[in-house]
Amino acid sequence: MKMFLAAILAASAMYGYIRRIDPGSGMPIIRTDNTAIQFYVNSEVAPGLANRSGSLIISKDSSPVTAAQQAMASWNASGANIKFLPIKTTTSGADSSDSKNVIVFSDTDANRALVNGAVAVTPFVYTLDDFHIVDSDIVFNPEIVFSTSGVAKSQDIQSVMAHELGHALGSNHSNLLGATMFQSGTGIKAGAPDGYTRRILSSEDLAFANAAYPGPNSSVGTISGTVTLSGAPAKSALLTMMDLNSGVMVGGMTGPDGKYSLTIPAGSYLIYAEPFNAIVAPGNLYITDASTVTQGFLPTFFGSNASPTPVSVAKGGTAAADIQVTAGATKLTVPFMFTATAGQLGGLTALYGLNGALSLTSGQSADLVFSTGVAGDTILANSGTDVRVYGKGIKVRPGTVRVDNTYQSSGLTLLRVAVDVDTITTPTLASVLLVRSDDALALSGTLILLPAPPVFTSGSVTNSASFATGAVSPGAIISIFGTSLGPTAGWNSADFGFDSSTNALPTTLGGVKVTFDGVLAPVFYASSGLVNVQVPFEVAGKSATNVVVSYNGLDSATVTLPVTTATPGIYTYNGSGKGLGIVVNQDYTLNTASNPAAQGSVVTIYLTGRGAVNYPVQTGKAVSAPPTLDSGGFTCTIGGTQATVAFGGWTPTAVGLAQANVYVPSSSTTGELPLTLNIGSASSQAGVTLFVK
Amino acid sequence: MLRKFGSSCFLLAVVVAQATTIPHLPPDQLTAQADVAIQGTVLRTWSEWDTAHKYIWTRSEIQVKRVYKGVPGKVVVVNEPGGVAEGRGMQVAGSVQYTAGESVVVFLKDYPGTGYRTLGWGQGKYSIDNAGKLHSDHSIAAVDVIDLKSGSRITTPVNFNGLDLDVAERRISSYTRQGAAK
Repeated sequence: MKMFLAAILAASAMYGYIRRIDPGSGMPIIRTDNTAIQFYVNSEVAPGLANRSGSLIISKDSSPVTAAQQAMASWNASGANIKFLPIKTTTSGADSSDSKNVIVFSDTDANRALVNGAVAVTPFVYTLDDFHIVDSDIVFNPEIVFSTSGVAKSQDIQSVMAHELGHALGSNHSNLLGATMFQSGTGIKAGAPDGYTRRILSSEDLAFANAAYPGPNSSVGTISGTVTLSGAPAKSALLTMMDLNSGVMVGGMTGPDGKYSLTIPAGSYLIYAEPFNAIVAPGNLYITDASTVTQGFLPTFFGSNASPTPVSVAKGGTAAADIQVTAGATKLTVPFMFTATAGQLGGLTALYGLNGALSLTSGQSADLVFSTGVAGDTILANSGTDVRVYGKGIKVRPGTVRVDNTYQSSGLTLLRVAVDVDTITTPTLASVLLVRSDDALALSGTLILLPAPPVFTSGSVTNSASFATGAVSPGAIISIFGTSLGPTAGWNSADFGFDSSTNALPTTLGGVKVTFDGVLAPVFYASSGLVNVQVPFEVAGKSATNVVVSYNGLDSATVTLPVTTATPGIYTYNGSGKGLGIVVNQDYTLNTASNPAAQGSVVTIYLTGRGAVNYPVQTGKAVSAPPTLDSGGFTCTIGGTQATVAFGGWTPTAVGLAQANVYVPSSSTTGELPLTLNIGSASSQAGVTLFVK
Repeated sequence: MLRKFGSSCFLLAVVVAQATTIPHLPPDQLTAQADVAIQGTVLRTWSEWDTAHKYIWTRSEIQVKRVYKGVPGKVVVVNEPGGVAEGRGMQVAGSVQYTAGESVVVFLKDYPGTGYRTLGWGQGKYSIDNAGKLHSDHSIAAVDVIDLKSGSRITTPVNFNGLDLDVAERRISSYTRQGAAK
């Protein structure tokens, strides 16, 4: 009986974000393993995987498991009570009855039939007594090319994974075009900013996560209400809530009784309801019964379209917002919409239909161009059509709504408006509304505002140990300082380890990748101001290399760096490049003032920038022990006294780290002594010391 | 197609932005890729685990009234993942739903071991309303392009949505003949 009552209550006011619902009961479907979700990847998943026709499925330069883990990390960082565990490997395939969540690319008849041409699908199975998800496999289409590196005409694995994991958590598709959970992606090709935008969970996706799995710090309240049309419930009306101060935009949908209840971040929201349209159709949101969908009304704000009234909700609070929508069918249809040079007329060759989000970048000015695409249709040209853009960090340039009659010979009329994007550091969504006195059309979440592309200079690239600028050398770990390089909160490769499918460090971390003459560099750390990477060994023998930093598809300008054979930099205790070096005494304890090395003992000095060697080393992979143990061309002075180098070279089992095992001269003085390493004519930085007794 | 309009970055970016998760199948390709295209009435639907007990499928039995392509027989069974069986529910986003009594035009692909599925997810199913018009309850992103010099559509029509049944039938037949001629 309790369950029955719960089902009735749920069915009367649900459908937020929009969650997956058991159609028989109206209950939301949810995970109970949300704090320890274990996914497995089929053991065949690896770079260069081909299907049974011999066609490549995963590009050879990809890190598929790391991409999947990074998609999981995005959900783990949502602030919600969600924790995907590190991925494990299995020989199992997709099987919805084995209670095992498996990621597969396997080319089988069953998988081809299941995906049926889609990029990927997530069949999830749930119990009918408590609606808990017990199995959620992710099946990638074995007839499509996937990559993490942006290979042309490939789908971005991380973007697809982020979307499919949302389904595995119980999320439906979104009615906001720019959300990760929107039904259509823009993952094909790479290089274009849109190709990666779904890696970034939008405020809509985050709101779902925090409502379905509230975390201890989830600052949410609930806005509820009823949407009515001529006094009757507006069934399955789409909702958009926008906090223009915080940039949060959340979608939703009313239930069969016109009611809604959305748990969303605390804030002050403008709210409007709209009907389904040609971009978001009932079937896309798993609505199977047309009788549960109300059509025949116009987008209508809470308050009024002329003067929307904000609705405030505090953390843990509730607020009410009933909306009486205006009857009518829009004559604006869904227009062709695209971006063009700001402030101009003409200059275009074709109209492009709007079927997803468009992106604008920080500081960009652009014209938004609209057309119904119907010859002879002058509705947009009629006076009184206003264009409103709702979002944080974007403004319509006053007085720029104008008709472009350049193409009258084709019978097509264009409406243009100039918009200016502020300097922004966080991706946000914006909605566009075309509004007339008797008509309105909403394009919800159709603009994605992206931060500026990464910026750095040759002078801001340093050795990660010495912080010396100038040339780089093969295999060295370098630090790239700049702006907009990556995510605000730093991502550390140590959280992911080696990619099990490549046995190498990831080449994309937190949406950041760095190329040297097109070769992807392993990324140790990525944040907005600093990226640490290993210089690929492939630069060996060159005099210069062209470096590009990309963050979620936005590329920096190319920066040319000189290349030299070795750039020794000794790591220091305080991380400044000066002072006590990272030196280990013969008894494997750290060399410090209170723990000096004895004269005549052997110390190990850690550095980077060894350069190319005459034994096999691979970019991003752990180095094997060299065939012979010798000085490797190193020389060393301690306190100005020449010290014998027993071994010099890359540190076995490490990436980018080198070491020199050195005898402390018996004749050296004692105390804190200057330390210098040389590889050929290249010397380590001045000001590094060790203690000798 | 791209070269026709030059190679501006603007053009490339827009086309990229329209790329789809489920590849768009305009009507000619929908017809060409279908193993079977029919008009019919949904007789019944039921859900069950497949014989390997890996997935729950909802089967929809459709009585065939007209055949546009293929040799389907008098009744076809369309299989879509998801449904309820043996105390479990299964869902897959985008699965196509059929209702008993519904009049439909469907484009089907025959998969070994599974049987017919609706081609291109929601793109392959149209319900026929009382006025004889076709309706799709799914939206699939498409690259729809119009030449601004001539006003003509460069792409083929996006879908059959809103067409009268007889108009849609003529188009399907035309596409079928074109396919056969190739």
